[in-house]
Amino acid sequence: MTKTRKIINVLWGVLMILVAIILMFIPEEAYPLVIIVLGIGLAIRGITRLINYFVLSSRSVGSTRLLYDGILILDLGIFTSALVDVPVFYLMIYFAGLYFFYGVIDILSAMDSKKLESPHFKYKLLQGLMNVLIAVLCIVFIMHKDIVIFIYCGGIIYNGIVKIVNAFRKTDMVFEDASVNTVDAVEEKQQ
Amino acid sequence: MQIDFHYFATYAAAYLAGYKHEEALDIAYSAFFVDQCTNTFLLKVKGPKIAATTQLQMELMDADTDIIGLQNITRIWSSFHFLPKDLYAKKEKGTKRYMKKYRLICGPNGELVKDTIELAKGSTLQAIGIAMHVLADTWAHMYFAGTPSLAINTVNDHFYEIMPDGTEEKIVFKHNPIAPDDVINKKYSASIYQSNENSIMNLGHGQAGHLPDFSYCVYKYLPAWNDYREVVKDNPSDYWKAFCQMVYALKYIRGDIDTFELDTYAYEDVRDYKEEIDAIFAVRRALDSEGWKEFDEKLSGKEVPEFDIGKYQEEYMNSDDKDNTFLGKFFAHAIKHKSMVTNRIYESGSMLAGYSVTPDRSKLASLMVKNVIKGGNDNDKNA
Amino acid sequence: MDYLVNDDNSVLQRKYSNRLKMAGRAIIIFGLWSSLQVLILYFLNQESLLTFIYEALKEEGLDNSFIYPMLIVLAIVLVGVPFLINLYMGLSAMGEAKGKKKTPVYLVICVLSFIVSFVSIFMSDLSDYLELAIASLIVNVTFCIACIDVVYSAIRLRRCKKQAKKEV
Repeated sequence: MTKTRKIINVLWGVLMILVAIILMFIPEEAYPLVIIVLGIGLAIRGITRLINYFVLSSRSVGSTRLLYDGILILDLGIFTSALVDVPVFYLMIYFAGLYFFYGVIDILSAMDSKKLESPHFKYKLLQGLMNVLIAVLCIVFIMHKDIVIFIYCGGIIYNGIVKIVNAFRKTDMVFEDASVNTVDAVEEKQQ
Repeated sequence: MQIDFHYFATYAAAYLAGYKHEEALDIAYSAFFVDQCTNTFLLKVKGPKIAATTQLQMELMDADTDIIGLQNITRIWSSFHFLPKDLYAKKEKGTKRYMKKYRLICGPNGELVKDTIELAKGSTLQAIGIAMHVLADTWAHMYFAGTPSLAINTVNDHFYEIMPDGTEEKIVFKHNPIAPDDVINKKYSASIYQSNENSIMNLGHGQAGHLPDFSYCVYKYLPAWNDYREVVKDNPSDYWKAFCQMVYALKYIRGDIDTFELDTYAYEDVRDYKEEIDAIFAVRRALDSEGWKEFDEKLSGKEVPEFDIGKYQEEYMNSDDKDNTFLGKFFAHAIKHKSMVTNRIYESGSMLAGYSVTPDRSKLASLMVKNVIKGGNDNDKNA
Repeated sequence: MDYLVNDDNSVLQRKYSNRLKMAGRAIIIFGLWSSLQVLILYFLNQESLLTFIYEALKEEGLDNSFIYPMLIVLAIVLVGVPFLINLYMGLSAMGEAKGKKKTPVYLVICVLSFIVSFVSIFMSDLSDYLELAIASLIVNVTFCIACIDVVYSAIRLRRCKKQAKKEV
């Protein structure tokens, strides 16, 4: 990652956290914003697919499927952001489905790690159980607007933190000439 | 390819190339270990994370698909399982971004195969095993790329198995990740279509299921990049060539042959066993381990043990000199090989596998010159 | 034995049958989505065709017990029938792509649907509810593109097949 990109990622992460905290304090105003942002997210996904179609896939076999999928997702996004008053019921079901799905993935991943006797399976298992718990909470509090905002903003804060942490992750640098590495020195010793 | 070829067939190839039984076992172990050395395993044995040569399905599902995550995935899969055939391939009417992915398409007898064999020559048995895995996979995984890409790796419903009597049967893939393939009743599973370009489902041959890894299978399909032209994947023939090329490569590494040439095979050395090996490939089953094990034990007269992932763990974890352990040597060469492939991809103008830094040769040259001058000055002083 | 069939005619046939299949699928999906939009807007009490009709009937002084059955009938006519027509067009296109023989009837309906959708693009009112109007516009434009694609691909596919028969 270049330095510029790291700085952008950190700033973006900080902005995400700040916005999420502010939204948590104004749930009534935040609710329509959440709908709009979800819609914009879908629209961006659709536009990405369209860009990929024109830049990458236009000559690939079956590429028109990507074109139509992109347009459909874009339209879905615009339509969603246009809906003024989506009952909280629908949004909670969406969040419940999303968190349940990611929770199951994390739990399966933890079981895989456990089979290989990796010590890190506990962390993954905890993450998975947390996601499933949030999904259950979404169903329990299905008619509560405040809880929707809290869950949504919690997700934004988490992603903001991940963005900041990733910005400080060491980029894997690989060396072509192993003579500047200890590897060749080891092999010379062995020979 | 799977354990049957990477472990048992590699043992046979090493033995036929002139290696002793124990050496052949080490080479075979290392060859299959490439499919076992995941991040999870490395965490367990406290090995270097950068030495990962594969990723579990769950690791992939968990992996970030941001730029760094994608580069990490591409580095691993392109280096060890989908070695690019031609990093400077040309195609009519392809954008720059498309061509970078197109050039990662795997295939046998590319320059990188030669570089892989050269890198393993004069090195450890573990290095040779890694090279054999990479070489074998260029045959099995040809026509797919080791990077998540819808534009390159997707297939459609034009997929036919060619039966021994010449008839073609349409293959309809199921998308059940848990159920194993039922090869007798021709029920195969594959990744579901994902319209996201960088989705993990679009990595390698996921959309074609396990067909590239079944040695009996002959099939034809439309690769996404081939402008609606069919390709035939004749696994029995390709696996035979892979085996013969492995024997040839191993003979070169041993020093029995002076140079390693691409598209050259040790047919003469393996001729006497062709019928037996063809019979192994002809059986319609998901894994040929039994057949190959029988062949190996008949060949060497010695027992070839089952693969045991835990065999060298204790040695590595308890050693004070980890670099000299079996796993230490494996990790060392895995890093070296990954570096080499990543550098070649980077030098070709693609960032898909990330950065690669070569020592600044001009700085090195000026340092050498400075040392020579200093040496001269010192000599003058002493005189 | 050579199993590959890569002569130019076969390659073109594959290309156009693939395009025909995708366009047929798009006609079904976009037709369904267009119908769903109307229903969703009605059930969320937002401005839609069905809402207007409901309010108009209410203004006439009609009872709910009379309005609702009328609405259901109108929903079937205004939403269900167009969807069924799209389904017929889409399935016919996909069937032809698979190699089944199809009459040109669905192609004629495709052309008519294209004309209707094309005209409705220019009748869209973007002044109120801009996002909804844009969403509707996108659907109409895409539907038009899919109709053209179906007709074009079907004609090219038939020509390729005819040529292949001549060569044999």
